[in-house]
Amino acid sequence: MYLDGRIPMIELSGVEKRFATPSGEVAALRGVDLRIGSGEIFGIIGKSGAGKSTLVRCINLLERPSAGRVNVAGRELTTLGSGALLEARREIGMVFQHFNLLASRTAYRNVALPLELAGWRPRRIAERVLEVLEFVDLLEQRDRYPAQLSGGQKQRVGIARALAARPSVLLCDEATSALDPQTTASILALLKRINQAIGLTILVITHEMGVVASLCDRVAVIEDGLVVEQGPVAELFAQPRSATTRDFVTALEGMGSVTRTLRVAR
Amino acid sequence: MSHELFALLAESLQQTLIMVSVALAIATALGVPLGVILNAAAPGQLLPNAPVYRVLGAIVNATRSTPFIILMVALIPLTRIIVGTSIGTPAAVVPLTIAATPFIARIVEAALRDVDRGLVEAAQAMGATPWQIVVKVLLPESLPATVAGLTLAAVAMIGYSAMAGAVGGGGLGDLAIRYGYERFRADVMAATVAILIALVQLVQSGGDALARRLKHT
Ligand SMILES: Nc1ncnc2c1ncn2[C@@H]1O[C@H](COP(=O)(O)OP(=O)(O)OP(=O)(O)O)[C@@H](O)[C@H]1O
Ligand SMILES: [Mg+2]
Repeated sequence: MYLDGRIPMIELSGVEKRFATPSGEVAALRGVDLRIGSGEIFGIIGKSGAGKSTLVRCINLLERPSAGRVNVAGRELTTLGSGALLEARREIGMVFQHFNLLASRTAYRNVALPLELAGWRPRRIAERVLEVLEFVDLLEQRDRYPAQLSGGQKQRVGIARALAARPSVLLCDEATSALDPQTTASILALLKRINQAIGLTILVITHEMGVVASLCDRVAVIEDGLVVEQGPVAELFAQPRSATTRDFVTALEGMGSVTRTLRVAR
Repeated sequence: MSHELFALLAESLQQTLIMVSVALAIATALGVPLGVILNAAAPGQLLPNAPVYRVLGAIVNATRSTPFIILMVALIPLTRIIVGTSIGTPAAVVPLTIAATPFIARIVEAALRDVDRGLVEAAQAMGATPWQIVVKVLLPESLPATVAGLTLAAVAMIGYSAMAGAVGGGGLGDLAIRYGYERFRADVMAATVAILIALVQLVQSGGDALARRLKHT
């Protein structure tokens, strides 16, 4: 498997997830194997209902896989007890499509939340929160409540919050899907900057090929709970093998933006 | 207005305020944890527990569906044990508290349930324990709704307190019955009603303003 000589940071083997529903069992994931290298930006693309969110939620065990193993930063999460699992989750930052910020807390206190949960001392919390807020360029907005921030600013708070506890992995589930194209570009640039500055491993879930094209090193295409194709982004673009991949590539070329996006971001 | 009437109204208002605020304080202290337990134990919530949810829910519903006037009489033995007497303002606090507690518990349960699931998920992704989720996410995020609900409870309790007054609990209701009704003092009746209306308005607008401020929009 192509890892560019990097040690794996996330390793999924044979991950399955079945949901029991009133109308029978739904197989959301049907045996997913993935290895994501340390320091990589890895994309997972797929159509609606393909299982992308289920997959990302299986990585921090918000959803417990029905079968298979999940290994993050050398720790086998699927074997951990509940206490150790809570501990391990602090190593995994997560960014959400709808930001999921607490309306009752200012930007500053939203970023402080994971550190409070982890039992940091107030002085260390203050130092760290200001540091990450500065990194995402939100120092001036620190005392505003989410309702007083723009979508892009909210997502930057969300990213700062995910980074606060110094995770070794960042999971982004449709982090830009609620944003306009310009704001999307600035958030993607921020993710790129984070990756370059601290070498953080980033997993990006999306249904937009433009996001993959401008941000990711490698990408996996998921369809109906299975990885149908994966590889370096440029290779996938040049020679899409599956029909789904071809659809995504064509859709992007149709918008005439593939070369431009690739050129701008790289 | 005669000096005598003024003194009567002032004393009764004070009794009503004491009755309602003491009962509201105790009922909140009991109702919030009860609401948290109901919320957490409900199906699909943080710590689903069907027996706990069903038993607590049944007790809460039973209390809520008993008319206050009957609850008051039925609780006389309990009131005697707690307060030592079943008449007077302190005695009226007992049935008021017991009527308000399940009401507040349901308000809190609903307020917590309405907190965006995404926030709970975000906290879980940060490694929060269920207790941390309650304290750091659910309670603060539901505060505006809880305050609005407590305002509702306070207004209802002002009404109940007038009923409690009628059976010897003192307060404005007692005054209205003893003077306005039994002694045909229309002025006392009118003044009492006016004060009750003003009190409810004050509580409602104060609660609304606080809830709005807590929303941080
Ligand atoms: N809690 C659940 N209970 C039952 N079925 C579920 C549950 N979560 C997901 N599913 C099902 O699993 C499948 C994959 O869902 P998932 O949310 O992972 O898709 P997705 O790729 O993220 O889609 P989208 O792009 O629309 O977000 C869908 O068929 C969905 O209905
Ligand atoms: Mg999804």
